[in-house]
Amino acid sequence: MTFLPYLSTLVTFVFAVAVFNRYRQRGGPHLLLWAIGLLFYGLGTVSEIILSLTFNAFVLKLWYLMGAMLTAAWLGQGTLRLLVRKASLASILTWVLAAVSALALILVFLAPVTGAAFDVTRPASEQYKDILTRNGLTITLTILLNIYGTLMLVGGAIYSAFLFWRKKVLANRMFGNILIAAGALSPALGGTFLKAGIADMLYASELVGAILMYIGFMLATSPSAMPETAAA
Amino acid sequence: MRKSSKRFIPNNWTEKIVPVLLVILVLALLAVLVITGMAMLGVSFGS
Repeated sequence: MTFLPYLSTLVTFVFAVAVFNRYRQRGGPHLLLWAIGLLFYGLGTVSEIILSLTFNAFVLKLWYLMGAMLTAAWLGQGTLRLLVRKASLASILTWVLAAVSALALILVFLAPVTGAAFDVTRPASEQYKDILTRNGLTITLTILLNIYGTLMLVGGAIYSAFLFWRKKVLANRMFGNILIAAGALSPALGGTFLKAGIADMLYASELVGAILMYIGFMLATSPSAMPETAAA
Repeated sequence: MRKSSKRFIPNNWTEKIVPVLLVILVLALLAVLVITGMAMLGVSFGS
């Protein structure tokens, strides 16, 4: 299963470049926020690769910060920026997220690490709780950022898909948003199961999530991938 | 030149599958939020 982070990293960085190129061509702060979120996603999976080869306390902290704390929140912020019409409100929320992210960075990089117990043959997700000492604020922040990000990203994609379905317009965007919602739910479910101690499927869920979201994004941004009919 | 429409007419398959998919996604989202919230309260489902 150690090959999964390699594939996830490849897909995620290709996806991030595609989103960033679209931002450069068309503008739109939501695209920039999504590109930042995908960069964080990729940094998380790169950290998994490094941690499967050797232990490094900085990389473990980077993995936790990117993968567990910031990715979902920044991707969700992009969706919020797209859906909220009041640009000033969305900007304020983005600055709040930036401040919370800075706090998360400080908390994680000040957290003590007991690297002697790390086993490179096992996924970081299986053992980080015993190695990275997180205080109550860090754990609470992790959960709140994940709830916020998942609600915005998945909820926003479902809401968009529902609107396209109700109006029977832009079938490609409707199906694209369904795939984005399913893809975003995949690592969210993987992370949730991990937090709840149910099962560790994090690496597989990250790969499935990246692939589904990438296909969804390409479909949603294609001129028209579905057969259309004349307006009534 | 006539501007092409963005409207679509769902076929029988799409008519049934899309609402089902949306409901499944909403339920999965709720499950994630509930389990994450319970984890925040210290509830663990694992051994």
